[in-house]
Amino acid sequence: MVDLSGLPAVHPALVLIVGALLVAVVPRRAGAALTVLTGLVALVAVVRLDEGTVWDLGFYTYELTWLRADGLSLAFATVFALIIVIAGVYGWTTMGRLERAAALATAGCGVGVVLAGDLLTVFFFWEFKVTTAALLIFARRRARSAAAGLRYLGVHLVGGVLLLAGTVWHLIDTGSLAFASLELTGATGLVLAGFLVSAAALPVNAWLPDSYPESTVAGTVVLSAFTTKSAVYVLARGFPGVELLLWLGVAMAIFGVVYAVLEDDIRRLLAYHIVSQVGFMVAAIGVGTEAAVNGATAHATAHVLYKGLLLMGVGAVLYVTGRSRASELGGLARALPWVLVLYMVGALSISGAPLFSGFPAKELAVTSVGDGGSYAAQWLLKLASVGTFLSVALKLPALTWFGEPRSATGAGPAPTLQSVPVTMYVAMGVAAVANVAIGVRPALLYDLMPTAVSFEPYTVAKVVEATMLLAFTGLGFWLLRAKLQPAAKVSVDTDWVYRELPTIVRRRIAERPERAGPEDRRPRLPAPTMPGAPTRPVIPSWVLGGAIVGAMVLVLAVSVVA
Amino acid sequence: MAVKVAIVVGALAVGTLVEWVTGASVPGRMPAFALGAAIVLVIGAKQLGRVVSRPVGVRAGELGDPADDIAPAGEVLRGEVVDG
Repeated sequence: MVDLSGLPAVHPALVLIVGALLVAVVPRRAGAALTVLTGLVALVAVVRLDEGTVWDLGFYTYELTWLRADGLSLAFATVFALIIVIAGVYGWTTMGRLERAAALATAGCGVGVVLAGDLLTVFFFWEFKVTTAALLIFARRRARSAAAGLRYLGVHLVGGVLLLAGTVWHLIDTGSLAFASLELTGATGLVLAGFLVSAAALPVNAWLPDSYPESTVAGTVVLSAFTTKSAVYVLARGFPGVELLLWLGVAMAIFGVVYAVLEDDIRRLLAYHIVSQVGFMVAAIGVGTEAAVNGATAHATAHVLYKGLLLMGVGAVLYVTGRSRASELGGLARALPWVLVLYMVGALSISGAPLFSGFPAKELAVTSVGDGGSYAAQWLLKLASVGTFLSVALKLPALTWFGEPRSATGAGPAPTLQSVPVTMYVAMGVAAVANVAIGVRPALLYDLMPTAVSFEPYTVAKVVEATMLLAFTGLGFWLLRAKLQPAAKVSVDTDWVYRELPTIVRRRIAERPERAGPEDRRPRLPAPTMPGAPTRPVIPSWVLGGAIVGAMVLVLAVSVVA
Repeated sequence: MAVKVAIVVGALAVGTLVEWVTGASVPGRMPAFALGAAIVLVIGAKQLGRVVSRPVGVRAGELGDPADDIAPAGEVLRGEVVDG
């Protein structure tokens, strides 16, 4: 083993945020290496932290805990640091400077959230993360990305306001900012609501499939790792055993797979599976036993790895063909065989196939739900598992890699315009090895858990049950494969409320007969311009953005010094 | 159709036998559950799709035309092209 004890301890979030600032100014080629190096240094910094380490910081009259290392926080911090290294390698040739800086800053904030010991520090990193994650969506530089990024910001600002309001109310009520298991009150209810927005819980789940697929290929990998998993962490820390979470999680798990079965865009399909898989974690947290929290943590840790791999796989397809709709793809097995192989490792992992990472993780989570007495919830989660295998491991690869090349818009079959960069294969390979290693040797995962795990996943009963579930789901897919042919459609989600309802209301109002004469009408304001419209602002956006960020940093620095 | 029925019945029989021999769980429970769940999910999702699915590009707040969904490879995905 490498002895790291001689190195000075440093906050891993600080490493990543400083790395982000450096990456923003160094030449692009150096930025690629610096991104990976920063991730590695952060990983070492996490490994160096001993359980029980606490760093406090005086802030006005409050004592903030900006670092608290225990089993739960270290499990999340470790996988967060690992995935940013993998994402850095994956985006070596594709990421721009802004994207790299935003990715590192998002990782830094994610690590900051899971290592924070008080609600104010959580809020600080939480909101910073929202901003940097939005930059990752904007980094694709398309009108659709800009619109999706703005919607992402809007939804998360509401979540942030709920979190801050709840935090302040809780402080007034109790005089404490400590972030530990919280009793459900009006104040902590607001905190919980803020967390649930970021967890993409129903009915505020639509921001996730709306925004993640609009980011760049590497940006989506980063987004999938940090936003919802940070939310899972704070729920596990603050609200274990809240029964509402059990049924909310079950609903998310089923809702996600149903929409995934419908989805045509393969990146949106995987985004719906994030909602579904986070549902498993939220349900386990709702049970709240030690084993269930271990299950949620194990599932979150494995999910970061296999979902990252899946998104890297479909990202490679998008990178090579420029297309992400199943109705525009097909027949890529010959052009991208290794992407298929690596993708399938992720697909079998998320499906809970024995020997892959999802098996020990999902078994622990789902069994703990049953052991907690919620058998109905346990079987509903198994129903969601059927949908997961059906859409991620059967439908998506069948429509993307097999069959005849399709063209729904008359643009012709998907061309393979360029080869997959070696660095993408390396990143996918590392993630695949990690998934198989955990699947073969679950102790690698279980040893990271907050409390000791005595669960044995590889019993005859569990292996046979998992195998039966997969085999007969496959049979169902074979029977109904004709019903799963892709169509160039998009499914309306709960975002109908803020995307379509206002338009309908405006149209209804406009259709009403005018009561006042034309001379009484007020002059109408000009219609707001949509993002991406060719308007030229008076102040360049980078000046305005830089000034706002600079002002925020100045206020924070003055506050800390004072 | 008869072939499909035979395959399903045969598969269920094999699955039940495996579960009975290994003593894994109630024989036949998981095969029947997984097959039924897959059918319910696919048919249920298709029914839901009649209500919630729309053609690409017609949603309010959705920008551009359907072709905007197709990102030219190497142009908008590669940071260096636009972020020099």
